[in-house]
Amino acid sequence: MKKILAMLIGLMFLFSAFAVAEDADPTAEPVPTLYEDVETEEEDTSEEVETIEESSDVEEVAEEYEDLDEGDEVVEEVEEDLETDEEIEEDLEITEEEAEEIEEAEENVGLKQYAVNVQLRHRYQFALNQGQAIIDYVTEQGEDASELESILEELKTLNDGVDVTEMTDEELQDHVEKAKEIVARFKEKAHELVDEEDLPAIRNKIKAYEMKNRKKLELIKKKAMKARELHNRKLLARQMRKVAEDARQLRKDGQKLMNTAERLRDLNRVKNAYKNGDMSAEQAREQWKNQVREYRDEKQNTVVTNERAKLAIAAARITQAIRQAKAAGKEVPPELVSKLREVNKQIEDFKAGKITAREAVAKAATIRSRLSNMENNEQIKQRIQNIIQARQQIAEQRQVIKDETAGIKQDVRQIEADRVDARRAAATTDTAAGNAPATDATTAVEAGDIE
Amino acid sequence: MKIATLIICLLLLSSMFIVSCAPAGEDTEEEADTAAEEVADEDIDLVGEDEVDIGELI
Repeated sequence: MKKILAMLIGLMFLFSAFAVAEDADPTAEPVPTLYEDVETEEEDTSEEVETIEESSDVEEVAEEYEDLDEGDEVVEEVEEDLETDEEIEEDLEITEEEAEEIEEAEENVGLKQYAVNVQLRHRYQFALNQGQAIIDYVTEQGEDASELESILEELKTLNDGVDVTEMTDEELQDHVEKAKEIVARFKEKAHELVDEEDLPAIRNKIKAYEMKNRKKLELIKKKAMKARELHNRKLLARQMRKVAEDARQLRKDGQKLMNTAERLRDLNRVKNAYKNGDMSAEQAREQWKNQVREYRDEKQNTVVTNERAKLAIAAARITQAIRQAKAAGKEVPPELVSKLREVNKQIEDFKAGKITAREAVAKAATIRSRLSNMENNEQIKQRIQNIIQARQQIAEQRQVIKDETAGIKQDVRQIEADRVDARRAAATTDTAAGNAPATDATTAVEAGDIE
Repeated sequence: MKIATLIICLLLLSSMFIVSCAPAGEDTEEEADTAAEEVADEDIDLVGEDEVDIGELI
């Protein structure tokens, strides 16, 4: 019995060790005091102080990061580019009547289904037109076209059954299947009645019919285009808004956008290329997919790089404070130097692509707590405060310069715009007076002789 | 007495086993992370010019 009991206790210890190991998540929130207790070994630090004085990697990271642009301008640029649903409708010249139909369809089957339904109607109209041209040709050739007429009547009935505001996807698929079967039957019968050499003449007749019914056919074609564009552009704008909001959130979380800003621009380019007709829906679909992936990956890298840089800034401050303390002849605690060296190594290992954003945030919290413990050291505490203040002053001065530069650029743009206006006004005056555009006046304005 | 000790040990053992094997909310964290990483839809349902095809009459 005693043996069994001993075995059970042994097993209990085994499982408890297993449980502890499971809980030891490397990304878990740190317990700084514990870490402090573990770090007790004394080392010769003279060499380490040397290393810190020589080490510039972390400081370079900090320096480069401070010089980086936040990326707000790109977000603003993308947001300004976003169209509202109303603006898209206005741009597509959606009439009141169309708007009512669209609203009804949106409530019943959704905008995408409506766009496809209108496309089916468009196909029917073209097919009915073609069918009639073929029947007329066959009749003109003295053949009996009654069977073709009967088949075409079936297609007409099918077309009449289409309600673009109510047809569901399932119903549409059913329609298409039926239509395909009717069309195939018509084609088979038509080929029985006409010879191969008649085909060019039939195609000419079809073209002539299309010309005759051009207005009607163009109307339905335009309607299909408007429905398609309305759906696609609204969808792209909505998706783009989501990405812009995501980038805004990154900024709210205190992250600089870095290359994510460029990926944001790329997505916006896809949206605009489709809007301007430089990209088909199929191309836009493919490009969008790729660019969203790129954006997501870049966002991961951005978060990692941001976290790394923020840590580097804090570590660089401590390095600087240690240097100042040493220069002032103060004794720097050796353990502080060795810890800083360790942290610097950890920061250098913090690479984008090697860890996820989530891991980066968790690891950064661990390192940050170590750094803040170091910052509380009496020898360097005040010095760090001074460094922070000095850096703030530099940042403010940089902002002033940035604002002034932006102001100057704005003034230059205004002057250029005024010159263009003056040139146009001079040309208008000369034209009104019956003279050729006065290049002298323009030149004078350009040269600044005329205000 | 021995039986009572044995039962207590077994109870302790089973409770520790449950604690060590429980996912400790890992799935929920994973889900939240995926949601946070979700930016916009990768696959967007744009309508092409030729979504509907009923064939040619000739």
